[in-house]
Amino acid sequence: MNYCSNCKVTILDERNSCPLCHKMLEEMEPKRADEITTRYGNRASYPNIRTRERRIRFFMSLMLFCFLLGEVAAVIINYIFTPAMYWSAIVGIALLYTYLFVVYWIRHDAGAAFKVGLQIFFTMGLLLLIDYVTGNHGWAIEWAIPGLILLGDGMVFFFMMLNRQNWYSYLALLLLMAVCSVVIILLYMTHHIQNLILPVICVAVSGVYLAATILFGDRQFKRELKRRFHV
Amino acid sequence: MNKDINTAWDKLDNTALLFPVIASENMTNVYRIFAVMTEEVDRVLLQEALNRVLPHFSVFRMCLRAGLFWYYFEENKKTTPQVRQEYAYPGAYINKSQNHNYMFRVTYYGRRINLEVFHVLTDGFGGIVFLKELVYQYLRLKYPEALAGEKDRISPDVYFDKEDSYLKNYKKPVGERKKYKSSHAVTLQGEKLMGGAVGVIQGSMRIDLLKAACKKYGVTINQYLVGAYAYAIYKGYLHSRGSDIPISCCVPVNLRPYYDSHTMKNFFAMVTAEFQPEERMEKYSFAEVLQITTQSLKEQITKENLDDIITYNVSNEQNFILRLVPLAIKNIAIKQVYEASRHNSTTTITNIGNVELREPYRPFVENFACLLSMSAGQNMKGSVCSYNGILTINFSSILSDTSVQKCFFQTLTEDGVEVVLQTNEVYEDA
Repeated sequence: MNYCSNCKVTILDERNSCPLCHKMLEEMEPKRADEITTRYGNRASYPNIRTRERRIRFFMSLMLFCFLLGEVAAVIINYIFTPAMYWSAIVGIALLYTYLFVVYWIRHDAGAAFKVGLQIFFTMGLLLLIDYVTGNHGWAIEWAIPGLILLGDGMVFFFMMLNRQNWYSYLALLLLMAVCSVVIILLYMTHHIQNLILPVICVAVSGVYLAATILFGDRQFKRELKRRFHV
Repeated sequence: MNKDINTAWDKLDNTALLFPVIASENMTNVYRIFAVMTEEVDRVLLQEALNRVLPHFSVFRMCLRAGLFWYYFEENKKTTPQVRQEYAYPGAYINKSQNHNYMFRVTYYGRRINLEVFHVLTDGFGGIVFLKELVYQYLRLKYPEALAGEKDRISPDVYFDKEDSYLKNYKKPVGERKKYKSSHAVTLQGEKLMGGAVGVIQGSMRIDLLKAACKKYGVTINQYLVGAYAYAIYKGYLHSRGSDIPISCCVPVNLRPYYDSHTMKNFFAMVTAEFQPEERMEKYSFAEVLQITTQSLKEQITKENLDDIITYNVSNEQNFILRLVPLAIKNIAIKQVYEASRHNSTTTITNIGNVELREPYRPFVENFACLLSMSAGQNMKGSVCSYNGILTINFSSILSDTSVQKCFFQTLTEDGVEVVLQTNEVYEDA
């Protein structure tokens, strides 16, 4: 136990200088130290937090470094072996997307349903971008995005089964999938899509799933709407 | 509370409406209340104590969800959050989607049990009630022989009232509404601690010596501590120079005694102790600053003014047109208003009062104290708690400079108050 003769305070920490005025501390007499301990108790220590914070930051930096290195390697290989096609741009977009995806899941505070919903939304954007970069053949809107909607339906089912007590908390995600399915069908009807099979499957799966949820969920479904829409 | 067959839900109280909108990693709105035991904490027993106590406190058994117009609480049916060894700086962000979706966490380190609460749930009053019951239960498990006469039940003096006391005590404004205009205040700035650290300097002092010092000036302990803090900012940060803008210390006031409320939800109001040092030849003395801040507090802590504050805050929430605005737009607007007011206060100092434990438990608990997290524009805050004749004040700060804390404690020691310090060891040592 130490004493700062400048601030006239007793310091319980095991340190050499005063945390207030930075003057070197004087060692306290054992008898006086015992008196202080009896009256105020012993020091309650704190953990070393810095190490943990450093570890998280190191992991994020390492990941970014590896991705940058990977992209540089992709650009060099692309330039040397297949200069006619810029596939390294797709690698770059995918790496950037993965990095943002990891940062988002680690740092962002939201429920799994919201994160999955937003993730599906951004993945749709990414697929459209890759399709555009590779010649705008329309495979993203025709096949990949309807597939993603079906995947979303599957995830809602998985979440509802996993968290049966709170199944209704995934209703918003299910509604989002239903809206996306309707949009896909509208795109077919306005001749932006030639293939009918996947849009029909999307609407059928999302529609049946939503109808079943309303029918079997009954009061829970209504209560969830009441909570969500209370003014 | 709206009780469904399966899921209970509840609206947020008037103050709580703000917290989910503005909370972030840098402005967590999480406070810590902790108890220091006489022996090392046993994690397994603490977890068991939490498992037994939590089911009684429905205010804490909630998760936060977003509706179309408002956030709301929903009963959390998940298992009790895991008790962990302390792993973050005090008042670290509570992630809504982690910790089993609970809005509080219980950690321990050495002899200390920490309860960290997101302010959306309750204020310091509710926090201390919960922590006391957790400590009681933990001690009953840890020392079954010594506490053989104590039953495993919640103390009879605990109220489980969950009313929104703001709404209950709201009086419709008559005539023109009182407006609260606030101007810019001194902001504590400077080099920050490395790696996003939060520094803690804890000072403990005898209440009898502190009372003797207060008697000299004819003020209460609260008024004395607020005055000493404002003086420390004047001396340690402004270097005893004049300023065009005031030093503004926010002081939360527990409204329960004024309105005969026992709610476990938030029920407090903010008043500000202001001191604007003028340019003059002679420096302000501590007695002068204390007199100014005490007067400032006295003028504001009156039933009439507290009524006005409640009316002002609740009338916005009661506006039907504002209620119909979607949450996403409300969030943007609230954030903008909050950001605009970030320079209107210098700091906050709170006093959660004197914690009293029942006699059989006292020998096992050494101390109680609390800590506040940082908020926009406030890089340092003070929090006060008393237990067993000792008052503990914790300064949490993200600034590496400790001049304000130095001036604060030096003011006290000059008044004959014995001070014993400890830190969380983030400050540089020789």
